[in-house]
Amino acid sequence: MLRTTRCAQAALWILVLAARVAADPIRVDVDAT
Amino acid sequence: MTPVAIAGGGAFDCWQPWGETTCGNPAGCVQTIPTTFTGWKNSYDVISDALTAVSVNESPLAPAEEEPTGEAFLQDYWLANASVVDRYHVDDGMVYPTAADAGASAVASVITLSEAGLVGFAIRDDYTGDNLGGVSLDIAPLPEPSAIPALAIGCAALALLKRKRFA
Repeated sequence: MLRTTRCAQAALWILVLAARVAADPIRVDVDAT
Repeated sequence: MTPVAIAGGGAFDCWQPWGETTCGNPAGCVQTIPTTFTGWKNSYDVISDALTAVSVNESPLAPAEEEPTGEAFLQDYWLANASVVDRYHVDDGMVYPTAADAGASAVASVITLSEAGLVGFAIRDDYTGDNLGGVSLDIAPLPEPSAIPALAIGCAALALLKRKRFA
């Protein structure tokens, strides 16, 4: 039971981390000069 | 893909191809060839080998075979994706008295790529020596539409497994 809970926690962390990486925008600055 | 101003953390507000401004209308002056009014512009190009679709303000653009010619090439939002390199051109065909006025007309776009690869961002001008400013964009990835049913199936399978285990 404890193992299952830890596994679920780890999976949740990975999901949260993946979602944060996906949501981070990239900034592009195009210098016209 | 959302244009951002300096106040929003960008390096630039908008850009100026002439180095001087004659347009005095904050709502913008129509850009013509040859030039009648000069000023700040909200325009840029996205260049890629895999650009399949673009929507501007949630409205999809009809792809063109080739780049428009004459004034049309700088006076519209267009996508040319049958050319050697696909190009998405952003332009409202206007010039503005200030960079902030030009930025106020900027809208967000969503671009779809058929595969991972390099994507270029550029401004169009034949002489850059008198230019001012630039363009800043925030680009955030969106999940592919095909990934959403797969995620739903995965979640349903997990829920089913959990229910079986506890039964």
